Amino acid sequence: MKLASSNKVGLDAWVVGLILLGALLAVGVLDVYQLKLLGKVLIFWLIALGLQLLVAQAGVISLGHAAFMATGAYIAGLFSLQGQHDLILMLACVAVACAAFGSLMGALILRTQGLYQLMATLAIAQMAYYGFQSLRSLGGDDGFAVSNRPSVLGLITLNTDVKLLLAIIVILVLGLYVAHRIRRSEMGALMLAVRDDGRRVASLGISPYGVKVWAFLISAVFTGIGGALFAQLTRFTSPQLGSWYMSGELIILVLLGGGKTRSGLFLAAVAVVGIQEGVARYTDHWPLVLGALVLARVLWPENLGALKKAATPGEQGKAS
Amino acid sequence: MSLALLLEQLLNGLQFGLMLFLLSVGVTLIFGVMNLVNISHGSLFMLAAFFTYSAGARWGYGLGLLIGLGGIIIVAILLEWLVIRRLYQKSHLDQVLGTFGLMLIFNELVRIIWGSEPIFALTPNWLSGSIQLSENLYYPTYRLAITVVAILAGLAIWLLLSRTRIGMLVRAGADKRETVEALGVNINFLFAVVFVIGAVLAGLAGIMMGPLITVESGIGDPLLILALVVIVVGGAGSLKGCLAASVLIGMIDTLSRALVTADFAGGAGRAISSMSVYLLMLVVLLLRPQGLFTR
Amino acid sequence: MTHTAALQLKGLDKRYGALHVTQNVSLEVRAGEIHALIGPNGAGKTTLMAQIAGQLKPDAGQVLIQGQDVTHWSAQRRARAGLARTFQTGSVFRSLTTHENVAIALNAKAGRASLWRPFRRPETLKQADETLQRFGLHEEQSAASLGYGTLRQLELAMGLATTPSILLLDEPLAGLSHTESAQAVYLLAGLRHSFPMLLIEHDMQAVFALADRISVLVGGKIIASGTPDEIRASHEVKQAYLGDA
Repeated sequence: MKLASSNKVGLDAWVVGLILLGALLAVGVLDVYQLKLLGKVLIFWLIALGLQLLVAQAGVISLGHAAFMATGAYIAGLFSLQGQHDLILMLACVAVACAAFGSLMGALILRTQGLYQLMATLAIAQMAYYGFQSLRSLGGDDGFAVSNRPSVLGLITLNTDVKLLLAIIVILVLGLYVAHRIRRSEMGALMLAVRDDGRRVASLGISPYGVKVWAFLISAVFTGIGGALFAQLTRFTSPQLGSWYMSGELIILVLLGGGKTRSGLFLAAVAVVGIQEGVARYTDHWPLVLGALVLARVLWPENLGALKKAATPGEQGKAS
Repeated sequence: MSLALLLEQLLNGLQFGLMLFLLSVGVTLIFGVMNLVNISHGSLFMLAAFFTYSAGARWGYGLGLLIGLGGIIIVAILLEWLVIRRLYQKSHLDQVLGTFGLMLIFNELVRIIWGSEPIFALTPNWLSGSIQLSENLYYPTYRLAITVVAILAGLAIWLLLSRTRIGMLVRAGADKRETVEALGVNINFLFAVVFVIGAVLAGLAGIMMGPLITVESGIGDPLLILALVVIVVGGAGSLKGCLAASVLIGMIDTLSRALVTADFAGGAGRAISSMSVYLLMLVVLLLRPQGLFTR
Repeated sequence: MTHTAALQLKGLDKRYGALHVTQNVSLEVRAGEIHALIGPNGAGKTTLMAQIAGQLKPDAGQVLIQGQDVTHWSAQRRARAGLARTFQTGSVFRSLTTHENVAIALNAKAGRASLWRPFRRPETLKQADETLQRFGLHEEQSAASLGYGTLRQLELAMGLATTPSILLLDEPLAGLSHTESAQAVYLLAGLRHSFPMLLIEHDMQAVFALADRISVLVGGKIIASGTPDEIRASHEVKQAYLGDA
């Protein structure tokens, strides 16, 4: 991913703008069910932005990010149980919690490489899942309802789906901007460098380990916020949000979306949600379609670009 | 907890560990020889159980066993030929994602064919009942039987790998693909053989575990994760490490569930017992990443 | 004028089981000099380099940069203390452009790793441009598209951008054409007084042209150390090389 401005990046920005505009207009027109779909797509897009930073830019694969999604969802749930709560405060809490959890998890698993790193992410995610499952006061395995919608600074309560969708779009725009800044930042360049050659980065005086932990932390926050919004949208949270199936879906997002463009990620989000919901209308067996799609993408890759590079076996030997 | 109860749990732990071993051996062999991570290995466990017990319900246990083992061999051959073969050269991430997709497909296929309700897995009459092991301890005959079978299977694999020509080729193929090919051995055939062996072991475990668990879609997957944990803890490619780690993890998992009651540590007891295995894996990864049992 | 050597190795020792790969190696690189390390293949040059750079910990002995004991410091900490190096394989960041590569080195030196500040700042790029001018590489292009010779120049530029106290060069001429080699030698000679260098090389012509002093490593031991003339005349060195042929 070249940082230098190129036509492709410029075009992508336009497409993103169009998508956002389309989403805004759609909010006024869609029915309740379709609004929920749009909401899910936008939320997955937000999460994918953070994950792309981790996977495509820093070259770290995590099979455990659903843990952050569940963390965000449960925090949203806890706030909701208090009754009236503030959106900004709630999201700030989610961000802090996921930043802490994310840097801890990142610091641990980034001491390993390759396949063992994958296993470590899985292990932590499983532990988080069991942790949530054991919270019997919060519904245990069944989860609980997140019935109360937050208000924004006490002014507007997001009690209708339309209002929540608009809030999601605003948060998404902020997220796009933040991801954009980080990508083009000094740290963003370091992430690319670390993915290329961690040993070389160390020889210049910077710890590649530290850079990767930052990428992990940022992606954890994005995922957590996505999880919180998801819980508010669906008015529900459960440990399933933290299962490794969900982690797999999240990685599939980045896989399908490719490594370079943000609009690509949007399409991936549409695909994942689309398959879940769209196919689910006709048959219960939508995972079959998703599984087949993923397998097909892996067997016949067209444009995996940066993602493939991040995961080639050669990278596993390089110093972390 | 009485001594008899403790003994029973220890035996259960050993038995679970041995089942895990059967599953893990396949995964570690396939990883060691073909450098392939197969997330769908648990699906083979599941399919064998479904084949055996749905056929067994209709045509008796004996025929069910045959169909189970035969069926899994056919599935393994086809799977390796059509899909797995194309994944050998790909990155580990691609393999994980691709076989994750396979797992989703298999789980749904099972739901389509057999429905979402679990199927009933009968214990054959001649294996039901229990054997008296001591004054207070009666242990189910079935569990003893499968423990024995697992040990025998393990021995068979060990003999195969260390004493036969195929075994030598398997071990050689793990290190020097070109050398083996230069010897005139068809590497594709060798890989297929390894895959099928792994599949048969997984299938065997699935068939034997059937009556002890609920036979439904997705049962192999949590075990697959445990198998991966076994490989991390035991060291990839080490058969002895695999056995030791499997039994260790089987014991930890079974005993922690039995000994740590749900009320311990204010409801966190259940979580701790589920997490114990993963905590072990994390500790190993951080302190001794080459595995506990490797040199 | 300080007399502290830019780089000092004191009795470095390392074993791999029965293999004594580094045997009591002592060495000094003074300010303003190019010190070459030569020796037959398998002499242990790469292992020694790794111990100096911080990738490998010696069993005994010390590594000092400008009098500071860095023996137990990590590679990145030594880099921040002024150690720069190039790699045998010529490593640059292929996802970035030439100027971006140098910019990364500049940022690393200045401790700039902000999550917010844009990477491609005019000031940084201008500084990078100035460094690259020395190498005749003022046109910005993708690092992945560079020819091997140019790539090694970029690598050197990155190392210099950090204004190091000591520069480690691991076979900088390997894989270069005749012309490229000559260019590189010319360049390095010009840098002699700004940056003390420890140079590992096989190209004897270049070594004798560049080096102020030469140390010869055979079987993990320094068997001779002195001026090029002294080395040329040395009996032990001749034996080591002839005996190896």
